[in-house]
Amino acid sequence: MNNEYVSFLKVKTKYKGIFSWIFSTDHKRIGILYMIGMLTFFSIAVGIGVLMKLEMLTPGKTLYGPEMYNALFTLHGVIMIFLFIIPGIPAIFGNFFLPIQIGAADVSFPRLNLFSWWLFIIGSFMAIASLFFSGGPVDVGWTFYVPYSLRSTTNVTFALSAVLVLGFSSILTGLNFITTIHRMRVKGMTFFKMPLFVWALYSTGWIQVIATPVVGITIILTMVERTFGVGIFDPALGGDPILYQHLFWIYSHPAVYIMILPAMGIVSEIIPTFAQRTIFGYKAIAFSSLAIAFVGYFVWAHHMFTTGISDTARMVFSLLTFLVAIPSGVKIFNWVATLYKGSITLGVPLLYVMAFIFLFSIGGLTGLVLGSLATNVQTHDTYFVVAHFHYVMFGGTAIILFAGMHYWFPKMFGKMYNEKAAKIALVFIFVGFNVLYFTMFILGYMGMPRRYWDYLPEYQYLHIISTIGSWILVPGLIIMFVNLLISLKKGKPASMNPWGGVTLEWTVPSPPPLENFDKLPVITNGPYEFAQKPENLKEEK
Amino acid sequence: MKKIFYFVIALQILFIVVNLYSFTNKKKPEVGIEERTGEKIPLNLQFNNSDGKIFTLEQIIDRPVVISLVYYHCPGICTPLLTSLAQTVDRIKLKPGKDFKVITISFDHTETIETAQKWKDSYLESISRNDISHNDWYFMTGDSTNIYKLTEALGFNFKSDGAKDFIHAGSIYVIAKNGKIARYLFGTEFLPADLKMAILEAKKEMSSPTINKILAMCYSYDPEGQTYKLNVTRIAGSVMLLGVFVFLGVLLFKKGKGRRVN
Repeated sequence: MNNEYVSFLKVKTKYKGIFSWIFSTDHKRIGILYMIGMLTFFSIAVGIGVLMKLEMLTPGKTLYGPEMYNALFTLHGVIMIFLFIIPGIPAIFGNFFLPIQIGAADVSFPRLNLFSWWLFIIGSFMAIASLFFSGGPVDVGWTFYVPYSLRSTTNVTFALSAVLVLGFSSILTGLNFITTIHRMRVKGMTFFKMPLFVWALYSTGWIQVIATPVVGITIILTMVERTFGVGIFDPALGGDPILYQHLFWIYSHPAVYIMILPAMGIVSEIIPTFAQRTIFGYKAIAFSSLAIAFVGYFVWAHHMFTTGISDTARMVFSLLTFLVAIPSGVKIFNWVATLYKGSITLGVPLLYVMAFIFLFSIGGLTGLVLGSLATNVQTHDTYFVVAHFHYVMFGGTAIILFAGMHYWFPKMFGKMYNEKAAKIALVFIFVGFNVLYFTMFILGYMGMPRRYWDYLPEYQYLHIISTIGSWILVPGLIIMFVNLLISLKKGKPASMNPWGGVTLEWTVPSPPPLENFDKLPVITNGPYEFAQKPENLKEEK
Repeated sequence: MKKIFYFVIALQILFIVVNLYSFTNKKKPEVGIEERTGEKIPLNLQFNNSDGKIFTLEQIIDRPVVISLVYYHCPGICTPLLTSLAQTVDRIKLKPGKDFKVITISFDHTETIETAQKWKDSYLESISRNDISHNDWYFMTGDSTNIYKLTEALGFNFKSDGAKDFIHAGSIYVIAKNGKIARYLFGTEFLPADLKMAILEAKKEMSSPTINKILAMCYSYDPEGQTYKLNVTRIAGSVMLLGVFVFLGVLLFKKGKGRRVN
């Protein structure tokens, strides 16, 4: 390794201190800025989640009243969805690794990239500030369903404008990534030689660009209605509340693929590296990302099976929903096939991926229960749905975000972490997660409705088990974060390629220099050809 | 880049104006339900029972009571609302008559007790549990003064559609013994567990705010005669998709200007 280079962490710029970060147009610094912001918001929302579980320990009032509970679940949802999981992986790892993985010095529009981060921060503070303004914390749920969101006396309009600003941030990031992938690939890097994480970001970028404006329009219509009393959604004024749900879910369903596709991209990076074997079915995985992005546009009404839409519509949407399972299944089987006969190292990132495959499979299969019409009507708006989306969002996206953190941490900061502590954290997270959320499947099946502050006594013992789960899960998260934080200062220096990966980020020093590559790489073969690149095989310790 | 920046700034200013405006613009909805949880309804109001007897509410409300406001020739949500209420009463793990009673009152003052009796027969017949007696579910009519006082106290705002029907919302109300409004259950479908929880609370004379706010509205809509003059969603959608295709076209067919490393 060349010792004379200056890493992007230490490079001198015209600004000093914190300003050298918040005014930096370096994609790597912006990625880390997003990471700090998002993990902070994530911690706040986890805290709120714990408070909600505490309240559910006993029927009736345990800690606080129903208005507070409504505000807390809204805030938990808004922060987790809009500030953490939608921007999550693309903004952190996409920013940091997309240019490196395609051999570029930065993204196409570096200043626009910084602007997106600023919009994200402004939007986030607006969302949180709406808590303290007159009218009180918003209590309408993260979906802002009309007519209640039109009638609630809380500060809905301000919260909506926060979401709109965040939406702009998302669109601009997507636009930037798509252009970067089309325009900035190094010589020899054809579309089918790109790493699968880049493919996933490409599909995600298109969803961000096409779907997000729809929610923007919906929000503006809702604001116009709230402010000027134009009858768009409110039936009392001749509007149609179902129209709101259509418009909202036309965005928000594809948005769940914005959340999960990049995570699947990371899985496709980690598995070949830790199996030291080329990925099975490269093209199938690449195209399945596009297929999920495409089919994902045509399934939104499965959120609305009980709203009274026509039977034909319900059957068509139910069928289309089942189709999404096909490309998802293609991915899962290809990953497992990649592991077959590989020379597997059970590194921390791979263990997180294993946890993901387990949790996401449960989440995905219960998704089919919700996707079929008859069982949906039974479980609609119950804890079953809550359990399902925590399994796919938390067990899927967030667990892979953690996997990515452990996979790329040495590259991002040039430090190794304590692997034992990371494994112990995973055990706590895995056990706590299942205790917390699996009980919710049973509760939902028994008829416990979601978003309720109170419940009948027969549900109590399951609520107690679930609350105990949250007490196991949270220490796991704390151990994981503390371990990484300590390693930032005290970790052993990381080599250029600690895991033996073969994608381009492992050919630059850890942490990478400002412009990523001193000498432009020449691409001759596919991204995961381990046998043909002996110089990249695991370094001797 | 700069243009986008100014555009976003302009939007922000617009929102602040919109926000300020929305604080000053609160008025009573013409149609819908304003929650009056915890307030009392007047118990001296008189209604005609379907058997011809006249009752004051005080005579009926000696235990938790579930009130539903409908009108009997309603073409919309009243029938599904009562059907669902009947199913809920059928499935609830409480004893009708002992733990609670049900009152259905027509808010159309022109309706007669004969119609009320017809409705009573058909709904009581649909209930399969046999521990419900004829006196546990009242079907009533009333004069406009009593109807007005009751709907006003419950926050139920409705209006005539100009012909023979009404525009109104769907909800049931759980009232405690002293006339205090314990809870609103919105919509036209009710879960037995929700109703049980509400009745148990009403028994203890507690009242809680609504947890499941779905407001079902009954309004006349003729899908064939009413089309939009300017279909905003369709235009916006087309413009957006067109923009996306142009963007993809530029990326695919126009060469970049020297930004690319190779």
